[in-house]
Amino acid sequence: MDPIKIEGTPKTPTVNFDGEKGKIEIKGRSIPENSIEFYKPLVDWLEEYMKSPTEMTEVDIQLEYFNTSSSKCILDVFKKLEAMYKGGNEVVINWHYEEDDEDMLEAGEDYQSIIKIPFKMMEIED
Amino acid sequence: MSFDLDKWVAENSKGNIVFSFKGELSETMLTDLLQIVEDKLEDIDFSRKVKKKVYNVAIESLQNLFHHSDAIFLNGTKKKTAKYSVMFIKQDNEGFKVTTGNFVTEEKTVFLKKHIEKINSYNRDELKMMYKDILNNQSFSKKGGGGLGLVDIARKSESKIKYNFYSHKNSVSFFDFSIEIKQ
Repeated sequence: MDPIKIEGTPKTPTVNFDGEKGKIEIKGRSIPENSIEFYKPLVDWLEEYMKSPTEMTEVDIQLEYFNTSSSKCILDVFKKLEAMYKGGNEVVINWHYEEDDEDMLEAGEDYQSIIKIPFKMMEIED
Repeated sequence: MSFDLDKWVAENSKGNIVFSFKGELSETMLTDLLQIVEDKLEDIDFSRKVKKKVYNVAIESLQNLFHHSDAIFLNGTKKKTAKYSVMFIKQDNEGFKVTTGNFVTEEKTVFLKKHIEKINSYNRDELKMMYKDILNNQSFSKKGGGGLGLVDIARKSESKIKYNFYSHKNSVSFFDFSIEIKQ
């Protein structure tokens, strides 16, 4: 399946979804007014990918800012990954946060407690 | 008597204003305003951690104004009605204060009062639970959902929301909202 490559903007993140390598990456900022519009193609892609995923799917989330309308969409992405994980596929989510950004760490922990997939909290050092 | 917007703006414009906006928001304006807020904060010598919280609060606040304001009739303007809104960011030695004002219908007033009272009565852990509950269990629309933005603002600022409703006319009230983000 075709990968997704989206360049980041001041309001939307850089997205790299590579089905062959099993690499999923969302980086930057996610603060659009209409997050559903931005995330719908990503969730649809995962829906397709989960039919025959690679043995191991590695997810990297590195967000500087995200708004609450994106928070629901990010949860939708994680729910697709959770379904894959429950189906016996290996999935790991690396949640990157800036040193001292306790809010971003806490946001990751919130997801970790909702989604039953192994999370790794990774501090980005200056 | 209808609400005196000019008076409210004058009273709230006192102090060290870092950023202010008055008018009707459009999507492109919102993008530009967020950039301005970010640039202004960048120039201020204050802890990065606090400034990041302020920017987060500004994002949610401006998007709330954009999505949830109701139109009122404005005298002396070309347009008959406008979704007029106001936002101020002020700074003092201890930190920042974000104030917003917009017009909302009776129905929203009822929801907002109940929602804010609940948020203000909760401690840190209870707010975390509330946030996760809304995030995981409620459906979202294009405009967002379930008042998650206000819960997020309260969590990040770690302070109580101050608010007031002033009745305007035709069952529309002015929603005065402010929150402090301190060191």
